[in-house]
Amino acid sequence: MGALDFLTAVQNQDGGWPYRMGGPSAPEATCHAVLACALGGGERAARAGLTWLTRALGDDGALHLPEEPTPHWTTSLVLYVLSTLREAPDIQARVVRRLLAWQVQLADTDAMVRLNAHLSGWSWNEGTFSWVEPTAYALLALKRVGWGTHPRVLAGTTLLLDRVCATGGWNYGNPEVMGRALPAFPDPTAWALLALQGSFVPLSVIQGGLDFLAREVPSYPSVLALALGSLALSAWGRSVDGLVSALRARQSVDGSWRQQVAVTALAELALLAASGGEHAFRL
Amino acid sequence: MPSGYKLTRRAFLKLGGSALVGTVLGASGVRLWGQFKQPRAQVAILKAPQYTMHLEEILRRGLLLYPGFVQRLRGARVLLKPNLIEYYDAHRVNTHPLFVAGVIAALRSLGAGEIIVGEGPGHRRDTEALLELSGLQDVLEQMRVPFVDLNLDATAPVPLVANHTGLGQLHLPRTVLQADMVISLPKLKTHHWAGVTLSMKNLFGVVPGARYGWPKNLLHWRGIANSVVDITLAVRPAFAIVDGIEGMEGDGPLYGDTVHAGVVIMGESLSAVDATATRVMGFYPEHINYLVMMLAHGGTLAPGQIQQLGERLEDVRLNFRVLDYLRGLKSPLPWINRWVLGEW
Repeated sequence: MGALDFLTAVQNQDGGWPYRMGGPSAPEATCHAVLACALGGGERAARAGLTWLTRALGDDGALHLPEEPTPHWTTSLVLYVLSTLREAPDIQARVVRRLLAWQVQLADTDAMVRLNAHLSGWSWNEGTFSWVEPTAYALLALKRVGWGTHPRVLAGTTLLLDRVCATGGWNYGNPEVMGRALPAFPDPTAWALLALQGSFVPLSVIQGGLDFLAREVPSYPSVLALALGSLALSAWGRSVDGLVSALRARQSVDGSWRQQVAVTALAELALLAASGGEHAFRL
Repeated sequence: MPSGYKLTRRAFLKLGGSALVGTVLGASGVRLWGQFKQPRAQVAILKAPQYTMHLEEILRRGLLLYPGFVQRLRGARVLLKPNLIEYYDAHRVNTHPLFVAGVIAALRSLGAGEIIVGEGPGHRRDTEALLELSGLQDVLEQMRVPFVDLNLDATAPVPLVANHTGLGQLHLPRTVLQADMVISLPKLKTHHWAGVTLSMKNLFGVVPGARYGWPKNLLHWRGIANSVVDITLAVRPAFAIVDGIEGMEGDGPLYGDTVHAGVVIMGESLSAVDATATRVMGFYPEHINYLVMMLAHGGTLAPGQIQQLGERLEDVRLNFRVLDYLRGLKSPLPWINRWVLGEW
């Protein structure tokens, strides 16, 4: 069985996808699964997923989880999916406005951490502090819809540059705490590199991130790191042969990777991109 | 001003001295009354020199000191919540996998039903990597115990009885809510913001990141102490077992240095367990905000209200290093730490 077989088998009746089979539909898992199905030939499943995603958006253009007044970080991912699949332009415009108005908490300069706390990126939940991953999701989405030169996007790009680790690549948070350089990790590094496509940024930052991924990911013990590492490296034109074979070796007989929907979708998108198919995250 | 009302320097000093003595006596009275009101609790301290030497038997012996708990354990669906936050070769950050294995074996030997291990790592989204790198995956596979990533679990809302965070309710993983009992398995560590991280702070990991972000960011903005108390009261863990075989001092909870403390600390009252563990580290729990806040919710901190089982506290007490700005933790006067931190 292939990944698409697994994804269609675990799709919920409401059209969305859970993180794990049998769970409630979750926006992040649905976004990645919709992309994997749409680009991999599962149009019908993707269509049902798209309907679930657009229904999950509020009138304000933000995605709110049930009983949660605060806009959720997956708002960016929904915009990315709609834009990539050229769906619902009116809804896209609403989401763009909401993302550009996204409020973050700025902090005073803290001697404990080495970062510019006055920079605005995007947060996991609106009204909290900016972090690398939600900022990368928002940059990807806004660039995809053609808002790459908006001041808010440029500010988010500056934030990512501010958070580069000394070793190259990105930690999920700060590059340094109390004088101690923090390590980079594969998943935030991959998202940041994908988000910096098309930006005028120092080549050394990109090279440093790519070198980090090429060095760390082949021996990293997780499918998520292999999938995202492969997507980021291939988006920037680097070879991913070793990662592809490692990914294939870890695929289960049911077509999934560890029976996790979001991870399976990302792994399938990585294989699709590596095999000459459409690259879901190349801008 | 008439000369009869002139305040001499001597009179001023006398007045100030009297006020200070009165304040100290008053504060002491309030503290004594507060201690008297705290419910009695039992906390066991067990010596455990290594992760491999008879750990299951040591844990089993400790658990048997709580016959009521052992009775409730029989056939129960148990969720174990270790501390699995990040992995670094050079730092002992997490509850040791062999400690988790020892707890599983001891609980099984006492008749526990289904045992699940669950964690929602606070910082990193790549839980698979953490499980593999830490060695916990191997242990769980060998013992045939399932792992649930609480960051991505289905959730249900739980009203917050105290609502210190102002959130009104907290969405908690169904795996947590459907367990008959939750057991917190923290590591004995300092924490650069909270002072210490033990069985209550460890519960931050049950909060689903998919809803509240990483590192459970929404809750951090509502205050660590507020969140710790709200989560503890919402989850109501049945028991806590602190992995103090190797602890962490200095720049905890991630970058501190390993201390071979050689102890396991356990009990049914999480506040009493954490207070005792704090004392083992050489600190005064009266400085830890969330422990003090628990006094309003039936918590126990006072040594006179904690019956020590197993080893005597005096025999295992250590002197953990702390970051300079937290040195007030070692002061017997509760306000010293706040003064050092600039809050007073």
